[in-house]
Amino acid sequence: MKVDREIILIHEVSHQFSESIIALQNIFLSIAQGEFVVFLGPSGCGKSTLLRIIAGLDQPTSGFVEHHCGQVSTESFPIGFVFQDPTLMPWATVSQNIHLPLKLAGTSISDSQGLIQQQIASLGLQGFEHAYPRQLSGGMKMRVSIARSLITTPQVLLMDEPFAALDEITRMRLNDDLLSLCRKQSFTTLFVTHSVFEAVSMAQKIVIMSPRPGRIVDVIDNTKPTDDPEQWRVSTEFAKRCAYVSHQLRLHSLQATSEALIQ
Amino acid sequence: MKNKFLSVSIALTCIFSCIQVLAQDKVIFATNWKAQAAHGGFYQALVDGTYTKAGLNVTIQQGGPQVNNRPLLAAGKIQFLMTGNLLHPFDNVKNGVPTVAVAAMFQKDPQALIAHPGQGYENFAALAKATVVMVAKDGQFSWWQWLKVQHGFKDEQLKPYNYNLSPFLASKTSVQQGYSVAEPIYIENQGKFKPVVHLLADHGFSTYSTLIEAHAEMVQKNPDLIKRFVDASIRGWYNYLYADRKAANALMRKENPELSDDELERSVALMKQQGVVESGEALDRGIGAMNANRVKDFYDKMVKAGLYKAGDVDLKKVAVFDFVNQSVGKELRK
Amino acid sequence: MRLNLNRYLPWFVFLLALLAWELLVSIYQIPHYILPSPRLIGVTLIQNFESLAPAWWFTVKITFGALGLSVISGLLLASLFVLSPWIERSFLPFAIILQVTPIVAIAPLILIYIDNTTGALLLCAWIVAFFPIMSNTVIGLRATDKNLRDLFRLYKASRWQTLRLLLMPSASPYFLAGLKIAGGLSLIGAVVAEFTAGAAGRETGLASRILEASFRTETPKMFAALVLVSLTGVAIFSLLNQLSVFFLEHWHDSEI
Repeated sequence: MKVDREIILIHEVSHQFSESIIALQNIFLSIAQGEFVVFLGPSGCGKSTLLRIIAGLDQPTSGFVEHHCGQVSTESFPIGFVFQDPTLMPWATVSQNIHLPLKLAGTSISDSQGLIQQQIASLGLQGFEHAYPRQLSGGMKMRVSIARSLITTPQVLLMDEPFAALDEITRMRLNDDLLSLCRKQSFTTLFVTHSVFEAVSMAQKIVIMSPRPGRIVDVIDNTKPTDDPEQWRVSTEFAKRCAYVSHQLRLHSLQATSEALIQ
Repeated sequence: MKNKFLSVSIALTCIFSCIQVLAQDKVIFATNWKAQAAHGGFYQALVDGTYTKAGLNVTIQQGGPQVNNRPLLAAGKIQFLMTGNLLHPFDNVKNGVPTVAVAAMFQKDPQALIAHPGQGYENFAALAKATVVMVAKDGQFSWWQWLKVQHGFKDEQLKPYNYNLSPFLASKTSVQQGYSVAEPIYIENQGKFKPVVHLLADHGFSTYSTLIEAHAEMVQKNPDLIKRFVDASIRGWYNYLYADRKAANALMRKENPELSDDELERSVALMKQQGVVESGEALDRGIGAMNANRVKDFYDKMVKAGLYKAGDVDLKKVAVFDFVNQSVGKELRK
Repeated sequence: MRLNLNRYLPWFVFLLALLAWELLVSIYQIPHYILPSPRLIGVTLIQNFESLAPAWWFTVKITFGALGLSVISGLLLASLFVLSPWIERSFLPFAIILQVTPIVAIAPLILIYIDNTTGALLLCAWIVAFFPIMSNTVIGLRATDKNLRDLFRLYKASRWQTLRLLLMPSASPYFLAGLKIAGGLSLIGAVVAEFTAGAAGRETGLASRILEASFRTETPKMFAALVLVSLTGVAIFSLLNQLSVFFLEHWHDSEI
């Protein structure tokens, strides 16, 4: 199968925290531009560690990650990162928070007004430009976090269980909004979750990971018949896919447990 | 028979002593500095039983560079207070505080300014131009005020004196306070030089010193206690100057371990030589003598110097003279 | 009506206490040289204001001077300590020793070694005030959100940018808490140091006036000076409180 332009190559990455704790073992993965990849697995499988390594926040003990992000303009930064926590600066307004990446790159807030307004509009934050984080709900704060990560028009967006702390309704709404943003702005998304439902809703490709040691055990193609997320979620194909993915997940985790027992 | 007599005598003596102890008045006498030879008479009366014989159970409470015993008298927490000059009694009367001077142990105030030799300070006027003059708090708020108006000293020169000779010894141009009968001896011992000493009394500061102050109420209600204390103190001073003072010195050394026997003895010699305790009327009417004229004379001098306004102080309330001038203890003089 | 009562209650209770004091003094005929009545203190304060005011100003100057020095040195040292664990380990013991040695014991020594009395008093007040600011700021700088730190790293922020835009705002609630403590302490340091010195030098503060009044048994005047010291302490506390509210009210739990 012809692979679209490769944007990230994870080459034989292993990461060890100490003698006994092997977070990641021999991860090999190629990610194409514009793909929506979901990393799915139980806690301790190293998916967050992998994401941080891809972002460059941590260095792997062996192996490397290659970014092929093409021309990088002064304002665009290859990578955006959204943490599980909204991670906003509580002393700054919504606009100031969104502006942060540009500020660190040296652009003043007045010069960035256009871009900020754009993000506020696409994330549905109108009216909250001058609000402080403590005045916002969990969902709103997460929108601000996403807006901030997108203001530099990144080519890759990394998200580490961003909606885990939110309620079901907010979660679904944010899932849908995220997907439409991805389609409009066509950036590559790497999304970590432990929810099968979320993975199947959004991914084009699901990477199943297993713990002890953390490794990729399966890569499932999640091509969807329809672009409409609502329609996709109520179809029978969706349910079948979820069942399959759950099964795979359970299978590999059972294997992992038995391997661990043997060792 | 003899045994019976002995036991009865012993029993009676014991009972007598007990009665005496029970009958004794508790008295606290606070001083204005750490124990030194200039307090000797009081400690003498304590150790040789003079106070006990007068029916007084006396505790001497030391003062010091960081201690202020003055408010205790008005508050009734102590019975008698030592003060170094008449300015404090003047202030009290001016402020309506009911205390009164009842005796003056020193006819001459040994308060002095001390300087290094060979710095031009042999001339008293030069002291007013010294960069540093070290004065403890008690002095800062009494005779220093007089030095400023009468002899042109300035607050810029003032630094605190905390009973530590090092700053003075280290700086040749500095000047510090002291008693003419005390500090020069310590300085000679530690610094190995004879300092220049200027007595304030020689330059117009004609006050009595080491006065005993009491609460005005006690003068009204219990003058007998005052008489006993003053008489015993006077006797203590005679004994300290002329009799065996070893025990008194030992007690003072216990209270103030920085003293040495040699320093104390030399101090006593200087007190005699300078006529601090015995001069003028004390020679006639005994240690502790005071008269109203001299009090008035000193007050007038202070008014002239600008420290008070005429009429600020009702001189009748400053001192009472009924407890002295009776040649008590003169027979102890040798 | 209810709202008014809430606001004015402390004032009301305070006035009641003053009234009780006044009554106590007149009923028991307590002499003025033992416990003066509030009325007498007030009168004395007004009568002596001309001589007390310069002393008050001097004490205020020393207090705020020491506070200013504490802020600068506290922030500087805290930043240094956070940037370099080596520096922290080397100098923290000195800071602690300065903190725990009672100023009453150190003050006489400082006054001997330093010629300039104002300088010596500033130093004494600084010693007392600087530690809370420094130690609180260190805690605050360390309490920065780890994820925010990662974010700054991700966007390749310079060390200076991280300090200015992340660490300092994060530390500001802790710093302001330390500042409130230090405000009162610098006043205490200034007064205690001067108590040891007595009226040394040309310019003197309220502590000297208190000492003077104490030696000359001018008890109402002593109380009047004490009142001024208390007022200064209350004013400092209130000022720093307002500062804290101003900077924190829109975002930090402590001032919302």
